[in-house]
Amino acid sequence: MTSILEVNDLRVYFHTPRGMVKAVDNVTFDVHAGERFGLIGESGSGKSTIALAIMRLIRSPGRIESGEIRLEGENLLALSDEEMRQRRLAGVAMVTQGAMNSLNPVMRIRQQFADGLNSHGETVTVDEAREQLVDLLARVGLKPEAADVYPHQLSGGMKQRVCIALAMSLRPSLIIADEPTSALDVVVQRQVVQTLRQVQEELDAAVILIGHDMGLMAQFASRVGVMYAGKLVEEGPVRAIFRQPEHPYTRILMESLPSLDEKETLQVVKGAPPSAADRPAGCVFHPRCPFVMDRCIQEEPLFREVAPEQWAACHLHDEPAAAHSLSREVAE
Amino acid sequence: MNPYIRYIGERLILLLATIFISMTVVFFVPRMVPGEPMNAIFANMAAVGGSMNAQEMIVEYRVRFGLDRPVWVQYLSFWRELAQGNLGISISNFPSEVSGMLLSALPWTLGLLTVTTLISWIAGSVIGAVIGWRGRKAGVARLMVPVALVLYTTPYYILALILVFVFAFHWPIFPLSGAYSVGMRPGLNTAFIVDVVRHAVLPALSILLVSLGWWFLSMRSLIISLKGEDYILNAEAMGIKERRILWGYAFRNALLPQTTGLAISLGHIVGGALITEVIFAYPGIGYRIYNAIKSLDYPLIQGGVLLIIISVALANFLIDAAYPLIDPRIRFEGSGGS
Ligand SMILES: Nc1ncnc2c1ncn2[C@@H]1O[C@H](COP(=O)(O)OP(=O)(O)O)[C@@H](O)[C@H]1O
Ligand SMILES: [Mg+2]
Repeated sequence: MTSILEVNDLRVYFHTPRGMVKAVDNVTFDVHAGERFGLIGESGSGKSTIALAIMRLIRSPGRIESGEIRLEGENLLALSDEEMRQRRLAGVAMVTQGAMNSLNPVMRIRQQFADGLNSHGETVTVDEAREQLVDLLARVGLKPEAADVYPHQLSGGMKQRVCIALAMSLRPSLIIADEPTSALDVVVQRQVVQTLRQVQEELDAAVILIGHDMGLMAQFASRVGVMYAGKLVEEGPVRAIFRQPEHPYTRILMESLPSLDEKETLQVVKGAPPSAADRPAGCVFHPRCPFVMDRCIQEEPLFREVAPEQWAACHLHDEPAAAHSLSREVAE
Repeated sequence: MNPYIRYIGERLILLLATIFISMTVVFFVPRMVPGEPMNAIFANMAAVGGSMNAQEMIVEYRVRFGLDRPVWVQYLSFWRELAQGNLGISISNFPSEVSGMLLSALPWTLGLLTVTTLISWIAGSVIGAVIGWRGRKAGVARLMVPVALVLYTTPYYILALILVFVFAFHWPIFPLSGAYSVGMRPGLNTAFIVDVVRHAVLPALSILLVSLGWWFLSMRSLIISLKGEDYILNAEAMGIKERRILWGYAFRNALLPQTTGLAISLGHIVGGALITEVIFAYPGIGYRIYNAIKSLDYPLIQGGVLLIIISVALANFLIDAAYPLIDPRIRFEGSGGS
């Protein structure tokens, strides 16, 4: 399977007056062509920062410190600003977080769509542009009239769909959707994810869905990556991860899912939520890990393949006696 | 009730209340100032060689202007006359009608104000937008920020005095005062127009620089705060050209609060312009009011202030009416969305 996106050893730091925030630290992952990839993690774990780094839209005081981001083999970090601008929308499109306000309030939807086309050297007449837009809107389940209104005339779910439609305008090979459902009610959330899935199939584009809801993610993604405090702690096929999470944090995320039977669940150790600002030494998760060992406090675990196609960064895998404590069967 | 009619009704009541309160103040305060308005007439008469007894004449004129009656009777009669559109007759410039005197002064003030406000608002907004958008990349242009701060905090009259000293006195490039040269016949010919423009440069500059500084700073900070908006990030993620994002997205949205700012500070601008007129002896409304106050010409003070209040209120109303053109969210209010 060919990779459409390769992220290697990406580090993005924010140089704030109160110190350096390692928002994304040594993150490595691939997304295959036409794949649905999920990026999951608590708020503040660095998901949006990864997305914005791929778009090269990290703003001061943030900076991409090192690493490589390859889109269809081309290193995006080596492009000029103008070349990168050309890649946006055409090569990689993003549905930004907070879609409630993602559309210019003083502009009709069709005008914004036309701006996207015009900025990429497309020469279409107003009528042609509207026709194209109406077609895209139909794909996300919106009526043609949506092309002619202002954003405030649309509901939250409709705005989100418009953003997805706009992201499709130039048929990019990768679409990143950053928490497209966060402000929506549950029913609309499912609809939007369904729409995204449909779009992905029709366009045959790869999609990275960012979110914090494991259930929604399982419905959508074929592979997921789990972020914790700027680190990718686990990555693998969604089925395998559901069957057998290889990192304690992933397991806790799984168990936060509502289940029908009231089984005993693993509890996170109480304490400060992860903060990229003052990250602990050793494993980032050790202050909250129920299986913490001496080694975890001193030594950072390597991110490595611990089961076929399943990668994790956890010392438990070196301790045959302890490793099975991760297993859900044993916990039950 | 239709919310729009209700809105207009509220504004109208507010306008009438403003006029009532300020006219009452303007009626009573000058009458509490010690001094004899008739002295001005007396001086005029003496200048043309009048022979009447001064004391007799003052009494006669006091009766003529109704100043012999109790103040509250004068007050009621003032409103009665005003209701009939009668602003009365000037004391210091007897027997000219106040309305005529104000009408002849109005074009000068209006010209000065419209031109300077338009130029400073447009130029300040555009420069502020560019420099705010470019941030650190703006380079030396960022020096505009401290310069604008200094300009904005300088009172109109200080700047006006500096301009007079430098460009009219030290280097007499521009005339010291007036709206056109003495002896010049007003008319639509090149010589006269050039003369008018030359006279207007310094007063205009003093108003322009101060308000330009303000519009610049205001637009710059608006753009800086708008840069963090989701729709700007989204536009960038769509690969839309930077120039288009600046003008179509950031600037376009900043225009709303910037226009509100114009409405709010209109009174301030007009007030400043009136003082500038005094410094340059520019024959507009401000200069008229100033002279009226000096000679306690009650009817002229009242008429002048009324005119100012009504014009500021009217300008405010026009700006309010322009809002819906800029903001579709207002335009569609009450139409029930799509
Ligand atoms: N502009 C910024 N200045 C300083 N720190 C930032 C900034 N933006 C993000 N961060 C830090 O980066 C970390 C990751 O943020 P983000 O990528 O937005 O997380 P997520 O999308 O997973 O919620 C957070 O801890 C946050 O404190
Ligand atoms: Mg985020």
